[in-house]
Amino acid sequence: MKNRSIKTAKAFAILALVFFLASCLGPEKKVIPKSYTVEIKAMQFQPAELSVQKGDTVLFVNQDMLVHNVTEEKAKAWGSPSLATGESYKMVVNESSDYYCSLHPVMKGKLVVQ
Amino acid sequence: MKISSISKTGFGVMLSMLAFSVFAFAQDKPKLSDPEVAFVAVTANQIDIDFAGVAKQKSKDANVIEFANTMERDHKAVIAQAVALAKKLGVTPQNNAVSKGMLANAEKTKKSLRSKSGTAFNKAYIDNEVAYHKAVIAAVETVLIPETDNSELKQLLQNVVPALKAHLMHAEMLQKNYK
Repeated sequence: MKNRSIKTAKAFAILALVFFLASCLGPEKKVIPKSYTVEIKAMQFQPAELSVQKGDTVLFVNQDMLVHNVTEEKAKAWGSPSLATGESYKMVVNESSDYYCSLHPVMKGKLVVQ
Repeated sequence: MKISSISKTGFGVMLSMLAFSVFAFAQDKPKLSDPEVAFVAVTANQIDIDFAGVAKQKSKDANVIEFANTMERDHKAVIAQAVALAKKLGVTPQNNAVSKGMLANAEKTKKSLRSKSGTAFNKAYIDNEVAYHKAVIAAVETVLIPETDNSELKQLLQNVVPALKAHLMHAEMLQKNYK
């Protein structure tokens, strides 16, 4: 009788250990990419600086009265077409970059990948 | 040397006249009706489009041509919005002494600009853009906006100010290349 109880207790202990290990070694938790919006208005990118995770999406929306674009500043590595009022440009961010509007070079922004 | 000095002085005087006409307008604070404000706003934009046209004809400098293209595109967009608003409000923009004075002085500035070429032209055009935008910003902020009764027209003028300031900063950035 005593042996049977010990065996049962051992079985529960092993099962608990298995569940614990399974929870630790389970499938990697997936990080769901987030979406952000940068508004273009009053000749500014708002917010001018945005911190994101690699793979997040940023939507640039032109809410200004003039045509603008969004262009990587250092080497023009990426860029949007000209965006009329109400038009937008979506991109997946893979690395930090400084950008500007090439039509109005005083308009600048920054994407920071954390 | 002497001719060059006279020419530079002449353009400086011309620039001062145009800036003075807009500044004087800002300081005198003439009473303008909304149709007159609309006409002055359209005129101010058209003058800068005309300056851009001269730059595109005369300059071979990529930065100057790009700047002129931006001025032409932006000021045309503002005029289109002003005209659309006037149509919506049933207002006919009305010519007036202020806009006539601005146009007369702009003609003199264009004549002076056309007489130049090469680096001298680029410098004169950009210097004029700096002076003109400073003057127009002052006029819009201190006269046109306060004088306007209609809230939609007032809002349009307020929306234009950040663009004028960005143009001024852009011109000042280029100005450093032509000292």
